[in-house]
Amino acid sequence: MDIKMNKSVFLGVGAVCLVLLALGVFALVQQYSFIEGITNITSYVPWGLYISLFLFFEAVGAGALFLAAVGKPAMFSRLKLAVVGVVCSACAGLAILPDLGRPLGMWRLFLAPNMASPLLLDVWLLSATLVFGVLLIVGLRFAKPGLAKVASIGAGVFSVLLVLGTAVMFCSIPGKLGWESPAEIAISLVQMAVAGCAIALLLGAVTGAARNVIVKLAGALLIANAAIMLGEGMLLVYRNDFVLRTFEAVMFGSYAWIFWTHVVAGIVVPAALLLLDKGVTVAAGLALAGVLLSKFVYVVRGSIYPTYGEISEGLFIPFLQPSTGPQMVNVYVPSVSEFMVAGAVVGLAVLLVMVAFNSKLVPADDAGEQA
Amino acid sequence: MSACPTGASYYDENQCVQVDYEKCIGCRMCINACPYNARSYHDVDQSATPYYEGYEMTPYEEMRASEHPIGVVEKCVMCKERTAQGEEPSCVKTCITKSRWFGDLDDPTSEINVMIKKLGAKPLMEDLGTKPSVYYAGLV
Repeated sequence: MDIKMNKSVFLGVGAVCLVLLALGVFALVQQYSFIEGITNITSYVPWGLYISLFLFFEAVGAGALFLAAVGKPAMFSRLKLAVVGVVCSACAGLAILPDLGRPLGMWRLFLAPNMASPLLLDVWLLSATLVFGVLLIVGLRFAKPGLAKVASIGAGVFSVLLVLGTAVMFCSIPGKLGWESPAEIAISLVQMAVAGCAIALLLGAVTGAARNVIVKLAGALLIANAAIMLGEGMLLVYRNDFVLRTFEAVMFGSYAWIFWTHVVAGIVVPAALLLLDKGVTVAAGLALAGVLLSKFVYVVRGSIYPTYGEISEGLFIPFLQPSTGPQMVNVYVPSVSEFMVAGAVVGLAVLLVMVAFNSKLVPADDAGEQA
Repeated sequence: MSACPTGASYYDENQCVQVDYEKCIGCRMCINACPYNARSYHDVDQSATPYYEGYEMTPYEEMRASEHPIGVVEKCVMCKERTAQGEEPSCVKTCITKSRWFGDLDDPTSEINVMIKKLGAKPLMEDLGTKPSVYYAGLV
């Protein structure tokens, strides 16, 4: 080990992460005992916290890798960004595993896939992103300029394609009209850039004039995020069709407090702080938290006013009567078990990044970045 | 159908959608893709979660439960074992008001096609490209 941070902090954070991991493993064992109610995933809300975490880690991983790929060595700690990018991308894949009913069948996704499935975009693009990310780390760490250049191109391209592919997959699903808006493709790409900038600022991985550019860029991207959401809302109001109901359901239903917290604390406040260049670290943290909340709202949005709700208009189906506000399906709250497993994935990501940064993989003088 | 990443969902020889439990990994992509809410996720072990306190499954229930693996997505399979032998699905046979018909949609003279024309039955949300083969009459 080549511990660069305060040893007490290193050990303390490491201990917390290990506790989170232990709790997550315990919760996972419980989950796969298939006791009723151990998770709150139902046939009405088939995707929840784990998929939200996947989308969040994907945005952070892809954003960090993109900056690592395009950043200038003199101003960006490309190696640090590449390490964070690979760890977060890997944790995105890990976040999916506990969501599967039969995770041991995962080999079929690689060796016996259905080529027509849009879900395969995620599998292959994530795999390619990870491969190029690891190659980029090797190229930067061991001063192999040729490898670093090729890996940069691959990592840069696939990090964008990964986020794009996932967004397209969501938009293509006919059973969830709440996901169909193409504005979400733009929002996903913007949030990827926001997450990358936020991580770079939080880690101190960008210095000099580039730091000022990243600060202003992050602020501008948050405003773009808000503008796209506003445009989507306005378009839906003018269209006044069924899809508007899904947007209304997240704005005024049981999840309204999460939606508006994301808008205010996750977009407006950090945008203002970044554009004024005040409290940049706090702003970066808030922006990251905003991305996580946004992903959760997006995932539940598809379920709480589903496509089959359109069929039921005019029919009285007790279960489908609005419980709170305009949403159609009862609120989904992740179970304690789900939170524990999600916490384990987050803990693993923090632990891996911390160990990597305090090992010979990331030298103190970042000599590997000169490639 | 095309949503399933492992090909666990497939059309059988009668163009009815079936699920191969061996291939299903329980990702629930198909539940998201289905606009009819026709699929359900089987994630409860009935032996661990009895219907009520102290209830024990009968041998028949244990046998039938073993045919439904845990951690997969299930749907109505149109009683494949019965239709393969030329019988009607159970729900059609037992419907007390004769509200259900099952038959060959490709045969214009079949009873089901006659009833579709007579009742003005329509499939639901075919504009989504789902190519539904279930028709409903008396829609509001």
